[in-house]
Amino acid sequence: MKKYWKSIEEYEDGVKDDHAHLPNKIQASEALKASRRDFLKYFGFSVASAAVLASCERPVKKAIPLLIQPEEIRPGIASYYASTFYVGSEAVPILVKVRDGRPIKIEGNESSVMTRGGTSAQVQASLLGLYDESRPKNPSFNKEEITWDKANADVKEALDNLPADKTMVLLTATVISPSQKALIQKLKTKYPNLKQVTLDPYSYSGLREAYSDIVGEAIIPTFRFDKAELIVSFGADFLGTWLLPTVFTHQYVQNRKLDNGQKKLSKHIHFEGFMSLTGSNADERFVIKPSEEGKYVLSLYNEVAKSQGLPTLDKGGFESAVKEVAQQLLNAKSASLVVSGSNDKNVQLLVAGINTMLGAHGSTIDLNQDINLYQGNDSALEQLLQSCKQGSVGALICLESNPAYNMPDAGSFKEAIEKVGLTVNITAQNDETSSLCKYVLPASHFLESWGDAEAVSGMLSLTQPVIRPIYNTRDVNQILLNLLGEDISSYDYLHQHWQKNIIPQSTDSNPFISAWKVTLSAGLLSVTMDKKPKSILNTNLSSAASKVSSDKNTDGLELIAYQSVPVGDGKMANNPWLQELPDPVSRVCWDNYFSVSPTLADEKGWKQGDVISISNIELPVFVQPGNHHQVISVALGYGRTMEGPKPEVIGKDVKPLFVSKGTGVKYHTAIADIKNTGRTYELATTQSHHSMEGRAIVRETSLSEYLKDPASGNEMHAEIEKLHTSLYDKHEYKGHHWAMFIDLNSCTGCNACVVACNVENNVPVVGRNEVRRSHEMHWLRIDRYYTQAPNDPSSLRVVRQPVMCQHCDNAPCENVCPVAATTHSSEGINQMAYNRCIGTRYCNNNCPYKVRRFNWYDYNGADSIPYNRKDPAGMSTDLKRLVLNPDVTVRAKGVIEKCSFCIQRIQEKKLDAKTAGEPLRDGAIQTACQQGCPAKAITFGDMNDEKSVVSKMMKDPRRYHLLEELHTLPSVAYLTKVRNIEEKLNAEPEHKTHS
Amino acid sequence: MYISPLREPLVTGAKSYKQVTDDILNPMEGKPGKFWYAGITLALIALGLGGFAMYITVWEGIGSWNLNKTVGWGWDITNFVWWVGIGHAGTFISAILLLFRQKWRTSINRSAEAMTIIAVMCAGLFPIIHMGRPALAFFVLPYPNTRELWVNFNSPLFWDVIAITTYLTVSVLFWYMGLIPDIATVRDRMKKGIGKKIYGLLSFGWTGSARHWSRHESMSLILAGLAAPLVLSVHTIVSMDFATSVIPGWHTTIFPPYFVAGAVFSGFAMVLTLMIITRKALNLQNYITVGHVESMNKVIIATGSIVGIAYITEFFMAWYSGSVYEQYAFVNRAFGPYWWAYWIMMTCNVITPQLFWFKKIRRNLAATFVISIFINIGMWFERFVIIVTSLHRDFLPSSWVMYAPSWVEVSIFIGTFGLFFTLFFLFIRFFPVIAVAEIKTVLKSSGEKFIKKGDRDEK
Repeated sequence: MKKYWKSIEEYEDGVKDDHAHLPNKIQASEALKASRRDFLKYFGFSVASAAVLASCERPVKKAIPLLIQPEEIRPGIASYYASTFYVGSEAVPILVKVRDGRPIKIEGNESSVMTRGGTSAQVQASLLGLYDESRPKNPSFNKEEITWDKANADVKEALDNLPADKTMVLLTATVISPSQKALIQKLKTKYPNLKQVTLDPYSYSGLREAYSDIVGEAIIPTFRFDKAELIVSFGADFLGTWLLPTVFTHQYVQNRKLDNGQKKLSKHIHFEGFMSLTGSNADERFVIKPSEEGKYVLSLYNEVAKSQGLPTLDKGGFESAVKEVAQQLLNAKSASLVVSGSNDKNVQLLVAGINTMLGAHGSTIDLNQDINLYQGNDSALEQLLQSCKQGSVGALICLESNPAYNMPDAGSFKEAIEKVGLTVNITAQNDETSSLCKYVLPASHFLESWGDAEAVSGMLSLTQPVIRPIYNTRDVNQILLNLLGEDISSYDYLHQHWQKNIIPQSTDSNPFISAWKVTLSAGLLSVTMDKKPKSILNTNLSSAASKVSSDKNTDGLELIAYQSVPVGDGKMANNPWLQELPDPVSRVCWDNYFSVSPTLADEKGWKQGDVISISNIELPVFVQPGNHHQVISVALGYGRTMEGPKPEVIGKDVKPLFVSKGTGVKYHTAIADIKNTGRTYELATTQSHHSMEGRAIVRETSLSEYLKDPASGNEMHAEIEKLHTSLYDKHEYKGHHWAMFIDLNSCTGCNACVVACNVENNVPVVGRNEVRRSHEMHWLRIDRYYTQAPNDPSSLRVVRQPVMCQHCDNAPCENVCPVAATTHSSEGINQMAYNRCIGTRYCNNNCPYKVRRFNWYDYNGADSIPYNRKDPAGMSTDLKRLVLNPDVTVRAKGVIEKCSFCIQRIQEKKLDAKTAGEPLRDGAIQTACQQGCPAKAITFGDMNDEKSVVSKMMKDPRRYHLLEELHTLPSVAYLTKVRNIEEKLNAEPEHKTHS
Repeated sequence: MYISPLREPLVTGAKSYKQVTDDILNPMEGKPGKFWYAGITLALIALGLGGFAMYITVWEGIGSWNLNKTVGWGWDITNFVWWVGIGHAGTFISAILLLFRQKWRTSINRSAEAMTIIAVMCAGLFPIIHMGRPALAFFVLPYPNTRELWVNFNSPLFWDVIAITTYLTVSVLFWYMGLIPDIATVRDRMKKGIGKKIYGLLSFGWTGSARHWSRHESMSLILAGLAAPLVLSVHTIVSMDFATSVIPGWHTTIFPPYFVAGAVFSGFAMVLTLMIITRKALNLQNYITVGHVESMNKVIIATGSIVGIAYITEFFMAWYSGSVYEQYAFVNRAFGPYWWAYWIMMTCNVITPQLFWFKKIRRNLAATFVISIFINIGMWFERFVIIVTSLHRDFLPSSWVMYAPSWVEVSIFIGTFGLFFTLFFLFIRFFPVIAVAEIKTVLKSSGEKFIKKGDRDEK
């Protein structure tokens, strides 16, 4: 090649080779001298290796993008749909979080005036039912799968051809859906011999019957705990399971908070035979035998009547014991509320009588707004059984009622159903009734269904599907429409029904957008009904009183059945999240048990875990401080099958013990036959030590002391703050500095936060055996301590404390990790890098709060070693994995995990604010536990933001930090518990160990 | 060097250099006996069991152990600290006693050092196997990487990694340095064959020239100088795993001296246990004399008493601190559900070694053997008490639990015994158990023959 020069100098010096570092031409040409043979060699090798590699089989994965992207679905961004939770017990308006087409979380609907976004453990956990593989997947006839067309045609034909002398019975759970009610009405019109019977898993028949005497209509009025200054409850577990616990918790805590200058607390007096969630929250607790409950009510009636100069009734016998309570009621007058959990009509009549005398009706009890839940009637059920046995029932259609389990006398139902010609079970679950019925029509899960609900009259809400039915199921309205032979989709039907019947009743109308669309978006609609106001009839209570007073006292032991907070009526027994949720009182999970008081256990020589048999039902003993010494309590809702890799029956169904003829269901009974079996059974419990050992872990005071000094009970906080000193400079948090406050006065211990945390953060379920080995993984736990003597049940006080990672600014866990897998963020969050964690567990040892959780086994399949998964609850199946939150890493075996302050939520809201170009609004970030809490006991925010709620709470004299004397400087703070009691609490109550 | 005739001879029997060499090397030159085969078979079975348990641990997860949400360390770290403690005697004997010119160490330093190295290897197993993800154990090393991930220099566990690897390295070097002249002797005594070649390689061409000796001596001194502080640092740092934490019962400033004393205490006990058997089995009574045993027992009284005072000081401090957590932790130790572990520890570590104040017991081999076993058990329980009873009931009573090991944990511990004895049996088979060259240096000054004559050393 010719060389060109660029300057004279260059010409004279000769052109330099600028590319000396490159291989010269000769080298290059050498390299290019590959021969034809070489080429063939290389070519052959490439082809051969490509062929070998390509021949390795790879699974074909089809990912077909949407041709037309739906507007509201953006990958990676969640949508929320308003809906309603209702599975036969309480009804709660909800929002369902849907990410990439799958529902992954349920939140409360904040626009609901009833709950203000509160949820319960059951509401949070109900999501998992959607991904339940054991659900019926196709219609079936005699256990053989058939098509919907055939099923509909066959059932219709059978119904049409039913002889006129035979009745057909539609056995439903309580129907609170107006549209469904209308459909049932249509069915009744079409089949005049059709009778609807309502079956509730827990009977409130007595309450309804009492009100039918009092106001002439079998209603349940609404109770307003938020208006009550004095609450007297006779065994009504209104914070846990009674009627509308989520709503009642929200109402109850309104008068238990001491924020915003509120200086008043409501007073809560509780009468009960065993330690319930509500009882454990009471200011005063009377421990009575359940058989005496009526007499206590009667005595209270007499005392109140006497003071008011009204005629008294037969003597109850406990007048002196309740004298003070009566006095307090009279002081509070119409601001008091007396409730009873009894299913005895006479007791409820007397309770209503007391409320009438006090003027509570119209003030704390609203007669004109009914609770539509629990419409069942015990005598109607008994009649049904009779007529089935007589053979007069030709067809029995069970609609989400599962009588084979829920009937008080399920055993005789199983006999009775054999006499019925046509049996149909419409159910969304694989339930006990299906195996007894000819036809099983699979209903959709409520998250797949169109529907509506009116739990409290006038307060309507919609249920909308958030996913296409996973199996070949149809929603209940659709199934009823099919039976009616109407060719209309359930959506169209619902829309038409609302347009015609409901929307015209609503007041607010927006001319630009249809009320239907507004309601669908908000999920809620309140309507005003022009019903005649109910008035109280002059009911004669003397017969009720004489019946109550003539009840014989039983001397011996009594058994009382209750619904546990996690499992409730057992409808969701097949839910690992709920089964692994420790009971808020006993902290036991995965079983039911006979709870006995320490005194009784001593007397009988029982130890925890000894299996005893009561009328041939064998269950282990659990020693429960706070029980009456002659009362054994046991949870309902057990004895159902938990599906999974190894299906098993969890606990025992104790309903057969409470069968009584003719008087309706009573949830307590005298124990006739009690035996030791000599066997033991280890209960799975998450807390084995129940005393604070005199440590200032939960700090409490009484209202009178609090009013004198808001820092009472918390005096040590100021001292400790003064003593805080450090060699090191304080870390500066220039941006946000996150903080969480937990108001111990608001927290009732309902456990909704625990399940909310599990769902949000993909916390694994480890199963009974692992819980026994203290391997439970919950990031958030609710510690429960007893104070005062365990042998004196009525003086026993219970405190609860939700504990999660405290996000210490001076975290003991951080400096001990050899690989810096847990570090402090610039916003004060103690964070875990799971990928970096090697699992020395040193951080866990050094955590004073013991909130760190180690992945002992491969609980979820995130590990790379095959065949070592330990997933007894079947939570890692392909379908159930759909419930995982894609924003949260699923942790592998061998790493530590813990509460992250829902870092994914913080990050999301920060990004939203950044995108919007606005500062982050206080309260925009809600952690999962905070959002799920019905009591709003948890507050989260930025303590660097002076206007934030947490900044205000920082100045609250009730503030303290757990183990603050260690100078760990936690970001989580607690507000002291203030009880509405007169006497001064000992600064250091005498704690007795009971473990 | 003049040695007083009142001094007990360090080598009994009128031995010549040749006899010394023969006595010590003969056992390794013949065919191994029945006992050796039986011993190593047992050891290999134990090792196999441990290996299987480790396989279960890695495959299934730490869940195969009975640790739980509150007790994150149990037998694993108990065993780790125990083995590290055992591994203290060797270097203490060879380095610190060398610097203090204690001639009696020459009879026992070789085997004590070998024991040290093996014990540290056993100990090193636990920090790795106790990890949730042992495959990522290399994360603890500060190696350069593109993600610029660095270890946490604040963590005592990282200090542990450094301390133990350093200690192991220096101990191996020191041990091997001392072995070189002896390996050369073995080489020279071998006729031919592969053995001679291997020993030839291992002896690094040692000829015994004055220059070799000069370098060997100075290198020994340097290594002794390096190793001496390590003896103190290793267990100091191990103790900081606990002392720097916040857990009551762990958060104690007296831990470093207390742990070092305890380590030497347990190390000497283990050396005694092994020596008393070895001297008999290998017929070395002339070299490892009752006098040696007595000297070691004196060290045991000293360190055992330090440990005893430390136990009492801990209690005093717990009371004096006024901290309810601290007080509870110690009351719980002595009278809580693990009271038996505490009292085993107290009995074995504080009471039994005090018997050595009696000369008769101190010089009684059978008694020494029994007491040394007691001390080994007591020191194991000391670590168990510190780790488990502190953890199982710490600050929040809601998290209090109990802990008992699973079969897997027990098997891994048995497995480390298997490893220990397998290697020890191989050691006595292939290397001289007594430093031949070193013992010869004291022969003419402290040998029985020379002391009796009141002779002076020729030089």
